[in-house]
This record gives sequence, structure tokens and C-alpha cells, in this order.
Amino acid sequence: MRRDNKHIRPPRLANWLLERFIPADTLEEVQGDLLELYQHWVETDGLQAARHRYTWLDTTLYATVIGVVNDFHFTSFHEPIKPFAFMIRNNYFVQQDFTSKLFIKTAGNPVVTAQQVGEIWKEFAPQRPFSYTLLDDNYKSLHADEERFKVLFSCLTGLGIFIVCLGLFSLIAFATEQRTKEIGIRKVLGAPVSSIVIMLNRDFLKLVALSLIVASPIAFYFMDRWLEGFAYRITWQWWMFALAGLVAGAVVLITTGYQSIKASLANPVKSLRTE
Amino acid sequence: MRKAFLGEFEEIVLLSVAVLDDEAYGVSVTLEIEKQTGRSVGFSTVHTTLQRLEAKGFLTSKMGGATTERGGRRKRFFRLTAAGGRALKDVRDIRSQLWESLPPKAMYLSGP
Repeated sequence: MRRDNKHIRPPRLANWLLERFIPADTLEEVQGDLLELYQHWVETDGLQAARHRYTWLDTTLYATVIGVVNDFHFTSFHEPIKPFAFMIRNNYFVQQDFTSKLFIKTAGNPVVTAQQVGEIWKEFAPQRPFSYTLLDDNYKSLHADEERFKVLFSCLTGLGIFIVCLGLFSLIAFATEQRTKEIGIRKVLGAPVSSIVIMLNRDFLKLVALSLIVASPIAFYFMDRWLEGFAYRITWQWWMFALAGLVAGAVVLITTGYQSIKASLANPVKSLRTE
Repeated sequence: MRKAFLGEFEEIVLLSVAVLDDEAYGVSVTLEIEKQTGRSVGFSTVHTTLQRLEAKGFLTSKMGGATTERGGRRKRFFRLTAAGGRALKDVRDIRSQLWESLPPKAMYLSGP
């Protein structure tokens, strides 16, 4: 190499990374070769091209693979699993080490452990502020939107069910009131209690079936759209809709049960005598 | 049959080391490959391949003397071993064997 290029230094960041990743036993030859090559490229291709080449081609990642782990989720389930590398570096406390983090696995109370770690940190690196996050919290925050979504929808659904129950309750009250005489006559003619309960509830269950037919395709459409936002997702199953129908039917029966059973158990003498 | 598998890039690196004889080290091998193939190869690729070939026993290496350039850092020179030479010859034998068994109507492969 010519003397006049000797003062030109390769990009510092690339060099700095290099020093951390090359195995110690090859550091000397690699650094020498790289410097020589860099000066060669400066001469033939110019400074700009040489710097680019040095950073993006000649020094691209030197590392020794010491282990391989299974894929795991480190971002939200909306994203497919991306390539991930753990890197072990020696000097965590260097000032310009802008990305360094210590990962600590704790057994006891993580907050207490963090405080203890903070004290040791102050001893060794008082010039650097100590800050920590709990990995559990990080994971939770990845799905904070879904959590909010869940709470919101649970509240809305609960409210909806409550309003429906109110309506149902008054409907069944109205229906039994209207049919007091009919129930009385039926009972006098020997109809069992169970058949009267079934008679009163049959119409409501028909409505449940109808609403299920109307609601299922809409629910399916939106559920599918929502699930599409996830890279990792469950697929819908027919029993989900069947379960929804069963639960709706059960809610209806519980709401109307009291009124209808009370009406069918009533003494027919009372209802027929009041005319 | 070949005992050890030699990748295409490994073959080129190995041949370049053989071509450069006593002067084969990281920089000269990288530049030789760029010159001969016309393709841009990163030093890190070449160097890791050299190390891999050494681990496979196709190359040996030893450190050179102190230098005044390159910040006084020494060079690691690579040399072909007997096994490396055999591997190269095996590859060439298989290639020429295949070329010779080309049927006449496929001869346009070798020129217009």
C-alpha cells in the first residue's frame, strides 16, 4: 500500500462490531487483511465505495454458532416468527454500547430482585442509569389491544344479554298473563305441567333458532376477518356456533323458566273462577 | 468416488489458493477470485471458507512474519495439502469424464 493512504481509517462502527464477533485467535490476521483490503479499495474504487464495501460486504457478520433453539414467539401473534439471534458479548458496561441489556431469570419476587440488581449496578456502573422492564409485562403489552378488545366486548355482550333478559322476562309475564285461562282449561282437561311449560317456551326457542340462523353468518364473517390479522390463529369449528346457540337457548330458558313454571303450577280453580 | 464434498465456492477458493502458491492469504485470495470470476465476494465469506477448508484438511496455514503495513499485523498464509490437491483433482476428473461422455448432438454446449 502506498504511504498516502495510511491515514485513512475504515468505518469505525463496522470495526467496532467486528472486534466483538471475531474469535480472538483470528483477530490479528482478519484485522490486518481487512485494513489492507480496505486501502486497496480506496485506491481503486474511491473512498465512498470502499467504505460501503467494507461495511456491507467484507465485514458482514462474523460469529461462531454455539447453539440452536426452536422457533419461539418474541413478538405478537400478529407477526410470523422472524429470524432471531442471541449474541453473547463481553463488555456490557462500555459507554458506547448502545444496545446492551442484561437478561436475568428470577425465581422470587421479580421487583425485589430488580432492586437488588440495581444496587449492584450502581456499584459497578454509577455513570449509567439503571432501568428495567419485566419480560412478562413486555409480552402482555404486545397483546394489550386484544386485552382491551376482550374487556370491551365482554361488557357490551353482558349488557346486551341483560337487556334481552329484561325483554324476555316481560314477554313471558305478558304471555302467561294472557293465557291464564287457557292454561287453566288445559289443566282441568288433564294436561301435565311439563306440556304446559313446553307450550309456553316453544315460541321463544323458535326465536332463538331464527336469531342463530341470522347471526351466525355475520359472526362468522367478522370472526374470520379478525382472525386473519393473526399470523398464528385457530380455525373456526362448527361446534362454536352450536355452543353459542345452546348457551342462548339456556339463557332464554332460565329467564322464562320461573314465570312459566309458576303459571303452569298455579291452581286452575283460581284462574277460572275470576270471570 | 469423492470422499469429501467440495462446494462450488469452496472449489474456487481452493483453486485460487493453489494458483497463488506461496502468496495465498485473505486479501490475495479475495482479489484473485474477484479478478478471475468477475463477481463481488466479501472478505468475510472468503475467510470463513478458508477456515472451513482448513478444518476439512484441504489447507494448512501458518502465520507470516511481522509487517510494517497493515498496522504491523501479521498475515496468515494458506497452503494446499495433499488431500486438498486430491479433492481438486477428483472434481476435475469427474467434470472431464462428464464432458467426454456428452453425445455429439449436445456438442453445441462447447461452442457455436
